[in-house]
Amino acid sequence: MQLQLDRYAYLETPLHRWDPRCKLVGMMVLIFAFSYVRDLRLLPVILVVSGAMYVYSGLPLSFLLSRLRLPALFLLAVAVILPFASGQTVLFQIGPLAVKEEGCLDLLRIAVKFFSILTLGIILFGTMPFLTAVKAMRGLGLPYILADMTLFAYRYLFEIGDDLKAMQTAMRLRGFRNKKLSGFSTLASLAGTILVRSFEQSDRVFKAMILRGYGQPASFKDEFQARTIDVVALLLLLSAAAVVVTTELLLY
Amino acid sequence: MPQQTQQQPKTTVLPALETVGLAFTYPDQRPVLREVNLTIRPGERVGIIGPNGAGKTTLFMLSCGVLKPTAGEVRLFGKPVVTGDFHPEVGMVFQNQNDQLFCPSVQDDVAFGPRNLGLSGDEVAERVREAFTVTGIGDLAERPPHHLSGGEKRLVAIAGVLAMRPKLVIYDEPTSNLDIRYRRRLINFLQNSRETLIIASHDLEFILEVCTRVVLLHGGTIKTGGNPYDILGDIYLMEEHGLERPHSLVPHAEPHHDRAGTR
Repeated sequence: MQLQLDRYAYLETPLHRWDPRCKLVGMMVLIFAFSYVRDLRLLPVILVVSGAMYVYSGLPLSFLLSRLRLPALFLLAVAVILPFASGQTVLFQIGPLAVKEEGCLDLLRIAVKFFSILTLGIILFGTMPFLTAVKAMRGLGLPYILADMTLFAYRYLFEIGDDLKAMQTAMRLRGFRNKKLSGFSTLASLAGTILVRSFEQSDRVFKAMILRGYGQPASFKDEFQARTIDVVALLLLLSAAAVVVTTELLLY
Repeated sequence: MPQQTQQQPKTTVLPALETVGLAFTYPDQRPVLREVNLTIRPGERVGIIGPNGAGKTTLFMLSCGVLKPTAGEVRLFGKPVVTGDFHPEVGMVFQNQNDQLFCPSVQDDVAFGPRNLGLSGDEVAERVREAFTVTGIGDLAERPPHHLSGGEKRLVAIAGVLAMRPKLVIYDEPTSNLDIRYRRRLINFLQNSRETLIIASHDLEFILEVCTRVVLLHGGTIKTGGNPYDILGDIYLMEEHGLERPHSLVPHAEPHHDRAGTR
């Protein structure tokens, strides 16, 4: 199945074929290793590693750029504040504001790490379907209740969205235009109705789940089978993470 | 010497479903079911008919152990139904299939039940394959259920229940929201079904085609039961309980319906 998130999750590259559990562990360890980096000399390294992995994943650049749009706003906020607020050494003045060297270096550090870590995250979740990611987490020990809640929440977002759209259409067909203050009470009623209906539906769905044995010990053990190459790739990535952290410790 | 006749021991066939004095009342409401005594034998296809609010769905929920009776008892294949326990021998196809399709893919949804039975990965896969074959929906395996048509959703819901290999299957308004093509497909499917069936439906032509026995439920009690043609063809009985005779049982100047009620 293809969901909106999974547009490129069905390509055929080695990263796509990598065992989901190994991929999850390897990439998360690498992400944490990158977040540990403070020395500026390691920044090009993590940038090159994440860039190379992205190219290897076969995901299009447009996909990366579209996913970075929203987080980039956060970075923009940091970029506006940090060079002026952090440090002592003044590089130059812009009117009354002094651009400081330490602030600029901090910004560079944050921006490169931010970009590299996000790129790894996009590779991780862009090269496997969302469902597979949740199942892999479950296979690694995520409590089944949390995994199921995530899956059901994602599944029923579409249902709630459809219900909301249908109700909004019905309202518009009966002349509703949210231009007056009284419109807000209508919208509040709409939101309340959606909540009540989704609660009632969740009750019926739960009954259906119980009738099909939900809550009995379920078997999820055989869902994934890691190949030797998957484990080798995981070890490679763990080694790379160890090298980054060790180098950081030695340099700092 | 006179020949001694060997007496074969009598084997008692346990009813698939038996309710004795079953009653139920929702909190702060009037009683929904009162003194319901119903016996369904294995292999039967029983239609439950009655107007809205007669208590059909409540009866089904009690039969599956989802609700606790206010009074009386329910037995499935001789064993008492304990409220809250899991009873894999009974499966239910809900009226609104959206309530029953809660996994992100059809394959996952059909596998949901067998996984909860504690089966191995291979056994689960086998059950899913079998359910897909029986319902003919193998091509929908990777699709998300919320993207399917009403008829497809119905078949997926049925596959999800059949994958658990229940001995008794309850269908609550199975033809609601189905087009003619899927309705006919469902009729053919149920006519060839090997499980014991209990079907609630307002589609009386459908009941005529599929069921071997009909039970009329109204006001929380069973009014009568018997041959579908006799029950559904009794105009006074049907009108007394807010129903109508199916068209195929209405006398025509030129008869154009066969006994099966198809044309």
